[in-house]
This record gives sequence, C-alpha cells and structure tokens, in this order.
Amino acid sequence: MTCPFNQHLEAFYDGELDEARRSEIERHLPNCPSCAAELGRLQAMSGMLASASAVKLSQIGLYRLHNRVDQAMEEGLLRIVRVLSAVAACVLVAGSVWLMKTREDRTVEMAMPVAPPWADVVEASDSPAGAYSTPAAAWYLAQDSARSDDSP
Amino acid sequence: MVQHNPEADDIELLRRSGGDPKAFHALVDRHAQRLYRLAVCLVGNAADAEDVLQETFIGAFRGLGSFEGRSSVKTWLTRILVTQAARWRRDRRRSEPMDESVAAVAASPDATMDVQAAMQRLSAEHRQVLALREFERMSYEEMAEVLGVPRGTVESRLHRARSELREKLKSYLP
Repeated sequence: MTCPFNQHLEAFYDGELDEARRSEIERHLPNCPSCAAELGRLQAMSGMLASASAVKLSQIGLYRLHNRVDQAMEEGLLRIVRVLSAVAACVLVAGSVWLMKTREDRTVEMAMPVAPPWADVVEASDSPAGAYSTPAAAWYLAQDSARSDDSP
Repeated sequence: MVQHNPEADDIELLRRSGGDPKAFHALVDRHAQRLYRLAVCLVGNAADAEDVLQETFIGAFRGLGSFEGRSSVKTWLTRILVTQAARWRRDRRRSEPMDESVAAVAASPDATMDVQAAMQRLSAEHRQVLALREFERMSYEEMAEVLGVPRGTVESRLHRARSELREKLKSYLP
C-alpha cells in the first residue's frame, strides 16, 4: 500500500510546499522507508541530470553568437535605412510630379491668346465693320466706304 | 552597502539595448551559458543548440519592445528559447522524420550519454518541464509562465515526466 505522504514528495523535493506541510513531511520521513526511498530516487535522478547537463558553450561558440547578434543588429539598421530611403524616394517622386504638373498648367496659361483692349469694342459695335474680326480690316472698310460716298 | 540585484541589472541592460549594442551584448554574456545548457537538453546536440541559442537572442533583440516587465528577463529569454527549440524540432521533423531509435543508438554504457539519450526519447512537453526544473531550478510558477500553462498542469506534467525518465533509467537508479 502506498503511503499517503507519497503524493506530496515531489512538491516537497522541489520546495513547493508551505511551511506547515513541509514540517509534517520532514517529521514523517525518518519513520517511512518507502517515502525515504522515493526521495532518494528523486535525488539520484537529479544528480544524473546535473552531470548530463554539464555542457559549456565554447569561447568560439560565444564569439559566433555575438557575431550573429551583430549581424541581426546591422540587418535591423539596414531595414530602417531601406524604409527611410523608400519614403524619401516616394516624397521625391510625388514632389517631381507635382512640380511638373504645376509647370504645365503655367505654360498652357501663358500660351493662351490675350484679347486686345479694343476687342470688346469691335464685337459690340453695330457698324458693318463690326462684322470683321480685326480692327485694321474694320478701318479699311470704313475708309473704303467713305471713298465710295465721296465719289460723284 | 549597495545590494546587487541581478534582475534589476538585466532590466537596465534590456532598457538600454535598443540604442546601445554593448548593453545587449552584456545581456548575451549574462545568459548565454545557462540558455545553452537548456538548448542542448531540448534539441539533443551541441551544433543545433548553438543555432537555437543564436535564434533566441536574435528573437529577443527584435522583440525588445515586446518585453513588458511582467516576468523577469530570465523567464522572458527562457520562453523565447523554449519556443525556438520547439520550432526547431517541428522543422526538423518535417524535413527528416525523427527516428525514435536514433537516441537509443546513441546510447552508450556511459551513464551521462544514456541520460541525454533518455531525455531525447521523452516527449517535447516532458523534456521541457524536466529541463526547466532540473537545469534551471525554476519554481512551478515560473515554469507555468514560460510554458504558458496552469501551475497544476506543470505539476502533473513534471510527475509524468519523472516517472517516464525513471523507467528509462531504472538500471541506474536505486
């Protein structure tokens, strides 16, 4: 038959019991060969695992580790630089497009013919000369018409 | 007299690591040996343990901002290592299916080799709890935090892991 204390032995061994329960088991152990043997097995297994875990990272291994960490740091920096470069390139392209567009609009504006100050007068006039598009033509026709009137 | 507090030192180093590479390298020096031992136990050989260790610190560096100080730096780094080791085992299983007999073949009359081989024949969950408890001397609460499981699960898992390992090593145990 298993001792009722047995189920708490691992927690006892791992130092996970409260003070009261711990003292209880400490008092029980000298009187229970089964629990004492179980505790002995736990200790023996820990000892074996401790000896198996006595491995050490070599100096070369540590050097490689630091090197790899440095690489990762540089990669991180490079990534930031790349992102910043991409943002800068986008701003540059958008700025250039905006500048080109503004320039084109201004060129079109400058190329458009500006109406002379007398254009409104000519177009508003009721005289037959008003039908002609240029003031020079209107003047010529007016003179020509006067000449015709003067002639006998 | 000024009290030396390793955890406070770790947090200070971690805080400075973002802008000061030397601080992060100091953190690497403080935890490399401990984490390497754990990595060897989890993956079973020195070369792969080194790779897992490197990935752990790279992951930690990239995740500097994710450390919220709710756990200790030691627990945080251990959790990253356990995750990396589990990923390594998963990738390896996918590329070359694990042969259960490999560990047995590696076993030799040497008890140390047998213990390592026996550890590799445990399930990943059992290996994790045993390594955290026996190598790292972590409390049940810390283990629960690292593994992301309730404390009761840690306790029962550890009990089953010990029983399984004891069965494999019975010829060496009293």
